[in-house]
Amino acid sequence: MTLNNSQARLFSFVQRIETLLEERKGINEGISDIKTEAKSAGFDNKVIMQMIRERAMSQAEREEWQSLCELYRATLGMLDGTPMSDNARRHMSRDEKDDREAGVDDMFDPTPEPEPAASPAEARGQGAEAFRSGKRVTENPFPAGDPARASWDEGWCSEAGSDGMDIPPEWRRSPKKAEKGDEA
Amino acid sequence: MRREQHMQPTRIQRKPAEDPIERLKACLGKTADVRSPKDAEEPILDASVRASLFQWMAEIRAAEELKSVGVKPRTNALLFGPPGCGKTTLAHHFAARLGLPMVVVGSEHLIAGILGASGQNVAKLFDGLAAAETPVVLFMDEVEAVGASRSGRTGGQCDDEKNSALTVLLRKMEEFNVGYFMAATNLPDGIDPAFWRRFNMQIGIALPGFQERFAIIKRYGMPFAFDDDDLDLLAEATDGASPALLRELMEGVKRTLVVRPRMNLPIDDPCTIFASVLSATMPPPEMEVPKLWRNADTVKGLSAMSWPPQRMGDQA
Ligand SMILES: Nc1ncnc2c1ncn2[C@@H]1O[C@H](COP(=O)(O)OP(=O)(O)OP(=O)(O)O)[C@@H](O)[C@H]1O
Ligand SMILES: [Mg+2]
Repeated sequence: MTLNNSQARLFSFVQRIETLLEERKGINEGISDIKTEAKSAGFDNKVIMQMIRERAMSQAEREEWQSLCELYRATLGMLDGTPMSDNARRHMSRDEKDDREAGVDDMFDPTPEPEPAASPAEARGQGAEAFRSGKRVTENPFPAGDPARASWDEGWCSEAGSDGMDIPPEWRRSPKKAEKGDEA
Repeated sequence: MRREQHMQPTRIQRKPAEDPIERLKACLGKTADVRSPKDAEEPILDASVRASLFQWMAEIRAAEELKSVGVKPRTNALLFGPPGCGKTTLAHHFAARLGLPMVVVGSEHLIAGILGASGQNVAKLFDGLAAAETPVVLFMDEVEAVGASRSGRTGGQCDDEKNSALTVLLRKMEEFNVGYFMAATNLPDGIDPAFWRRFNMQIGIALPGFQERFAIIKRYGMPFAFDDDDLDLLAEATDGASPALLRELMEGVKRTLVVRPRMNLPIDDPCTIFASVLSATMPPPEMEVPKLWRNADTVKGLSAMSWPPQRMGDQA
């Protein structure tokens, strides 16, 4: 069988899509099965799907979503007596000009996160520790441009004895066989 | 305490995004894609490429010290080499190491049919980056679309269009000061010499060697644990394959292993499995076709593999 290049590529595209469609069908069936199971165990699938949607949001997105819902409910008189959450209150006043006395604490102010200030030596140590505990070199906690970020990276690399782009051990030859045949 | 507020009808209204990625997306619109440093994958590269990159990162870290001797870290690099060898992946890794978002611009973002629009697109891109006021790694893919040699052009309207885009790009590159700029091309021979020289570094990313192929096959074969001897066999048979092709191959194998039983087909013969995947994957045209794809005996040789592969953790 000889296919020319563009035929072969076309076949490749068509077959790859077909395989994925087949998989999708399987996955959809799997989801339906789980829903049936959940229903017979007494759960409400509508609520389950809503939870899945909410879990897909980041914490900030979820808070924003929930506070907007509350705000809409409040406007429509649907709060039914429950108090509004702090988030929703904050949301209400977010864009208003702040007319509070300066320096007076407000119960609605989020407490500011303390800056994780780290000296170069500390950051280096943290980087080395991160390597030992199996973290990836790109999991650097310090922001771009912070000198601590560079120190953390250096610490990670010197502990690993590499440039951070070494092939990780789990993608190498298994250790027991390494000595047998590591021809490059 | 806060004064009483009157409830306003509220819309879902976004404040100017604090998150640099959101801000970039807002400022750049359709002129580019923005990728988070969090999404970077590890590239598997040969030592010389890694060394260039590592030296560059060391320079960036030493920016302050360099300033004291009157030089700055380099800010741009041209990556060249065959398709699917990790130019994009490498740039993303670089961005992730620095903690910067990567802004990806393809030729589809730049080249426009309307006369003069390509140059405007380039200008729009750089203006958007300036407006976002946040450092980035700018990655321009298929840069031969704008940076092709001017002398090789035949003088049609389409050429004028590209010339004007290149002129704008050269000027904007000069002014670019919000991060690092990487460009990538599969066609280094066609790049305009003036454009080529404008880069501080030209890094060639070649096809992977045996050791790299071994790692790439093992990685994309996961969570199936192939025997090391089998990985040797595959790495040997795929000499000349790009990482992207190896990934496609191994992902095809994984799909087949999962899907065939659902279609009531057996999975007990490695040759059948590989043959079915191979018939549906092909290296891009004008690239060497590795042995595994062109030689039926090589596929037969796979019958020596221990089969079917175990899922990791299953044997424990
Ligand atoms: N060196 C590598 N190590 C691991 N994976 C790789 C490597 N190179 C490529 N890949 C995989 O192959 C895919 C394509 O790679 P990538 O887009 O980085 O290649 P490229 O050189 O930019 O190709 P192109 O020239 O086609 O744009 C990616 O999804 C990546 O996961
Ligand atoms: Mg690419």
